[in-house]
Amino acid sequence: MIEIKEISFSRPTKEIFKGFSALVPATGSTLLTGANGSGKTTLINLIGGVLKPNAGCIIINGLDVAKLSAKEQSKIRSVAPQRRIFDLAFTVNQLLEIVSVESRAAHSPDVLEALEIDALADLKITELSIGQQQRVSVALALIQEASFYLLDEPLSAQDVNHQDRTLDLVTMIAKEHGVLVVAHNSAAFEPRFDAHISI
Amino acid sequence: MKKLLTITLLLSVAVTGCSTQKPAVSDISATDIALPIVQSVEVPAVKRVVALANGSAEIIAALGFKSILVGRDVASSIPELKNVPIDNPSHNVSIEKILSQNPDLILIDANTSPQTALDTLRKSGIKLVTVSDPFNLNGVATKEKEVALAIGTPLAGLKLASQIQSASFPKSELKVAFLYVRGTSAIYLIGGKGSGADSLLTAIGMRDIGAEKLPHPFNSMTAEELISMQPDVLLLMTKGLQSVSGVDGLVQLPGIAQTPAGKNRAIVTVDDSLLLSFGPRSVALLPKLRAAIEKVARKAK
Amino acid sequence: MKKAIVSVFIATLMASLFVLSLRTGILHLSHSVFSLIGKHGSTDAITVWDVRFPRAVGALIIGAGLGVAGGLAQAIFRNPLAEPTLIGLSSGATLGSITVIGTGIAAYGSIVNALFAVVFAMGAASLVQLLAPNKGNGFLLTGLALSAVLTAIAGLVITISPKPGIQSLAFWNFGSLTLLNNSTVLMISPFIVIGLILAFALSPSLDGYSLGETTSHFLGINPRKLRFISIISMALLVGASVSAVGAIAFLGLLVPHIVRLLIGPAHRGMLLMSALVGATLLVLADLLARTIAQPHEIPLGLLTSLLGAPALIILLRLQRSQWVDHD
Repeated sequence: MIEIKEISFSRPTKEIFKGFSALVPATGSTLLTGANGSGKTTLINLIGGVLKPNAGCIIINGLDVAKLSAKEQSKIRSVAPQRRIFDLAFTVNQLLEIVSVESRAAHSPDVLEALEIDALADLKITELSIGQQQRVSVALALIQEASFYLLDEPLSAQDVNHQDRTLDLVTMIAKEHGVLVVAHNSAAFEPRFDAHISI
Repeated sequence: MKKLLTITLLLSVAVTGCSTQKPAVSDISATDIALPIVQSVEVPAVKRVVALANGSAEIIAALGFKSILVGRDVASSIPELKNVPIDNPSHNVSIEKILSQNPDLILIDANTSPQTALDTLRKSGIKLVTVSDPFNLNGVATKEKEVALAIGTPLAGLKLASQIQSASFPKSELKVAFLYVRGTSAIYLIGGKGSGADSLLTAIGMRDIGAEKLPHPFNSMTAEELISMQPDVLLLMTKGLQSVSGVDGLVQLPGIAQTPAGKNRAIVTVDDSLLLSFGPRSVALLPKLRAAIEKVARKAK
Repeated sequence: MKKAIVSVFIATLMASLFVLSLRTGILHLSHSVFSLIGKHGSTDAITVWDVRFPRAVGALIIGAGLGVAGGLAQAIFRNPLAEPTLIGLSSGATLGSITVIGTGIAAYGSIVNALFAVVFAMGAASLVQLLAPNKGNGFLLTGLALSAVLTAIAGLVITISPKPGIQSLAFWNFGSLTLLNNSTVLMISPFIVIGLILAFALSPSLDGYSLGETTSHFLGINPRKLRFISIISMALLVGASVSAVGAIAFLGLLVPHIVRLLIGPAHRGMLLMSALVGATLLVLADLLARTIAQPHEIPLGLLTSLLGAPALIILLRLQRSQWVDHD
């Protein structure tokens, strides 16, 4: 599980977390919600190891994130950030090849099917719509083998149909992994999740 | 059509007319000097010579053996050598050109570059001989003898060198200053000790006032310096004088008009490729230079 | 497989230009190049093996190195205008070479010369790293400024201490393969080979790196470490090249754009192809430089700029879909 232990984190202009604790179970899906600017993405970045808390620590599967290298972290958790830079005209397939075959999760084919990636396989990422790019970004995170998946706003640009398919996919993956999803429309999505963290 | 022709004609006349400077007070051009060619019965030991050392092609021609030259350096530009190809365009040795000429001797000096090209030529078995690159008259005699020795005609070399050694002139009290100017690049220099001009002026019995007073071969030209020197005659290169718009432009430079030479417009110019070339033609230049200096000095009186 | 076809085509072109380079020059060979293999001594043999061969091989190796260095620079700075020269590598290397030759510590073409060039290149890049602000284009702009300063210093050194062998400012700034001989090519090869190996080893990580700093981290890539090793690789490739032939403009900038147009941006294949394309272009450029105005040699940098700049403009118009511009 992911243990967030009494972390404090501030930006120059404001304090975002003070003595904050939370738990993400090893299996099951957790929804993370909060007002704009409340620190949802910051929390993802803290768990993801990009940011370090001023106080407290974050433990994943018994290991302190602060003591792990980027490579070690990538083996236990996979993150789909809110935004990736898609400047180079990779094809979707070329992008997915970034995750090597050996490090792919068993559920990868299900991911590609649920997010309807095959249809986009040979298209250039730079020519896709924002929604399509988002699906590719999520797929990139989900095909990697890891104990935990952290998805930052994976539904924000999706139509209802794809939101549905994504949430079903999350439920399926959550049977054997921990999945943390950041989303806005908590009322509609909450019932589909096993747990809910509100900040 | 006729109108176009007329306009073109008028334009070309105007253009050429504009580029003709007022003739300098006394000018020695390259065509006034003939290449002194010695006669000898020797036969050179080599048949195909590439003369890369500065001015060495000219020396070989003066020795009377122009026929053995297959390639020359870019600085040996006398008309006699017009048909000999240049082997170091832009002062860079062209290896393939030289190899294709199949020489049995290459003359080089300390300035011939690049080294890597010379190494490759040596490696191919061609003989390379280094000669000196002097900047005074005595050195010319030595160099002529070196070149002659390299091609196997030492007696011809002695004969050529003796021309310089036998040149002798009576002493004169005239004070001459050598000015190196390039108006287009704002370069104004007075020749001092070691400029090369001092060697010529001393040989013809004149006083190089710049060499007497200034330590470096080339010194900044200042009004104070010129006025304290009071030269009777100014010596310049032909294109140098042109670059400051002729005599009219020269006398407007600071200090010039306050010297006897400036007041009397006593100026002597010599072709750029001839004055400091320090080769066989220098000997023929000496009497002409003396005569020109005396002439302008006399006119002033 | 498009990549395979393109590779074979370019490799064939490269080989043909190589042979053409051996056959072409001021001296007309009386034998065919192939009959001269293994021969020494004759004028033909010396011309081919001591004059043309090192130039052609040098062009291949240096062209490959510069092409890859360019691809690496654009990847690591996430900027299609990046070139190794922009971060002070070329000017640093030039200063290193000139210092070592001018003070007499080592001669042109020696391994010490190449080493100093590489070290100074690294020094320049480190200085840029130190001085540059953290964000955005600050790095490249600082590099541009430092390059200008270093080039000026190099010019001063040349003007003040004209030691024979230090070559002219034109040589260092425009580049030329004139001085290459077999010994020099041998001396710079290890640096370039190591640089290439490093670059190819990094290439798998570059795809993920291109997606951003945070994504890099999430994918297990350490972006700072990646940048550091890339700069070492570029210093080796560019430093060794500059020490032998001066700074050749445009090649590092142009080659990756050509390659991306041909086979897309996936870095594993892209860097390999950059080596091929770079080698081919430089052999061609050198061939043209020494034949167009015989017996004069056009400074290489003038040729690469003259041909490279319009080519780049055309490419950028064609390539609009390969690198997205954000309005």
